[in-house]
Amino acid sequence: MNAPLSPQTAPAATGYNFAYLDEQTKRMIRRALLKAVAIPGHQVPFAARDMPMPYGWGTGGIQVTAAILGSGDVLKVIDQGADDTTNAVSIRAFFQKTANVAVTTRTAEATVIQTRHRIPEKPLKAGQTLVFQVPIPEPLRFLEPRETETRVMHALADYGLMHVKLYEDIAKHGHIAKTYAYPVEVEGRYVMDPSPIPKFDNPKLSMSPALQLFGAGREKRIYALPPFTRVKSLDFEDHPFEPTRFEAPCALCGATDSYLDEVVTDDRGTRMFVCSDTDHCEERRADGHRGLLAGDDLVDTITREADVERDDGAPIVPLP
Amino acid sequence: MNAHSPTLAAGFVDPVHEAQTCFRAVLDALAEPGTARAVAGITEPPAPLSAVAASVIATLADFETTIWRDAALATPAVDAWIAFHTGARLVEDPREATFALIADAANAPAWDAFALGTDLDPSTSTTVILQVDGFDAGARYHLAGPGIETTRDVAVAGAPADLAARGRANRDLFPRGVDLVLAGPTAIVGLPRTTRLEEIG
Ligand SMILES: [Zn+2]
Repeated sequence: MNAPLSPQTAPAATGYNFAYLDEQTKRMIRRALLKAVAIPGHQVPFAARDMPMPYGWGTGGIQVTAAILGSGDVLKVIDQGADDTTNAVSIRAFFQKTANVAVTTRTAEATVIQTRHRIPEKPLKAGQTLVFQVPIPEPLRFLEPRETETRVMHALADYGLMHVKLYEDIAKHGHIAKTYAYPVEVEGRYVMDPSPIPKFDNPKLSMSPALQLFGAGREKRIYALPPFTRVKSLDFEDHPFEPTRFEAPCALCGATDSYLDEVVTDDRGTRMFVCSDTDHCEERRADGHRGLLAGDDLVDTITREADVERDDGAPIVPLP
Repeated sequence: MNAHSPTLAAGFVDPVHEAQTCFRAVLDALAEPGTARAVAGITEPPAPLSAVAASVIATLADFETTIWRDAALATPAVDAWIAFHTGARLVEDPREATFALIADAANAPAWDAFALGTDLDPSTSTTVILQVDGFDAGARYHLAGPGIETTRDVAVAGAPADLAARGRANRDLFPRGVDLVLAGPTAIVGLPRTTRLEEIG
């Protein structure tokens, strides 16, 4: 793991548009963002541009970040909670190079946080913006493959089929089987896909002081949650929503309230559960918190699922 | 582009960064309705177009968008400024407008005269940029809705007298409806379609 990054700037490369995108593209994305904020949870179409990386790298989130970023921002990029995966490092370097923007790994210091598959553990503050990379923006896609039909369902707020599907899960498994990309209802109107975050993170979506923006590059959709928007995970009176809980604390920092990843600690395949949010874990360790496997030497040897480069937007394997 | 043309007052001096700063002000204004967000950049656009409204329209409009302006703003100087600095097409039918610019708030058309979006895509509605006198005095409103933790109070001087009733009628159309950007002398206040508006005197 790398040492924490404090806000720092490097000279911007010349020959790029600021933050890569041309001004006309930024205006188009900005107009979509304003309408997304005005209609929380509604997927606003936008004319996504080709970016110098494949779709699985989060081009939708990158375009949103590029459209909002200013020279005074401090950017943090996380991939499944970690600042140091190939994907997070590449996106951070991209904006350092094209926008000369200050970067950080510390959640509290960031003004803009681009994320794939997690919401930081540290509660976000007013003035912060969280940008989600979204592979599939349509929460009804698995029920109805036709875009023309799902748009009508959203227009009519016809979410009966979604409820039937979730209730079938309960009949079959005794609980709703979805553990990530768990659908939410926004302000009692639109049903929205929160991106493949673990359902553990769903409660953080609601009434957050931060602005939350969602960008889907391949499917060309932008949607948003303004600060202090009511977001409810879909559930039933007799089967209320329950976020994932973990049996054991983080092996490194002892946290009992963070989302844990199973990691490999050595070449014999020894496994342990540690915070998925690397900044949170490091900050707790810096404050003197230790888990059962306190060994500081272990920190540098663990292999995270997220270190494996992938371009299919697949979620990590959820814990049982 | 000749920014020193005597007939066309200057636009942004540093278009990339000034437009970004202005955009974030509009984004924050609509994300947190009722909070005043400072807007600077363009100075001395042709009257009665205000510097703040001019900055917002220069930030957001381009040849892919259309602008409707009220009778007060329909002057050759303003039209020329809009054409030169945005490239947007001027329209006479408010239902065709991506953006509406209103200087004479007292005589503003009803909001449902503008594009309201469709049930399939409510995002295709008009964004109304309404020039007002400021946010330090005037009628006071109690706001609630997304972007507001509990409630927020805001004062608006120079808004249409029936602003709260207009807001209720607009909210009844949800998810369709217009979104308002109130442009004061130095700042903007956003009132998106989700905001519930109650006049408190
Ligand atoms: Zn930990």
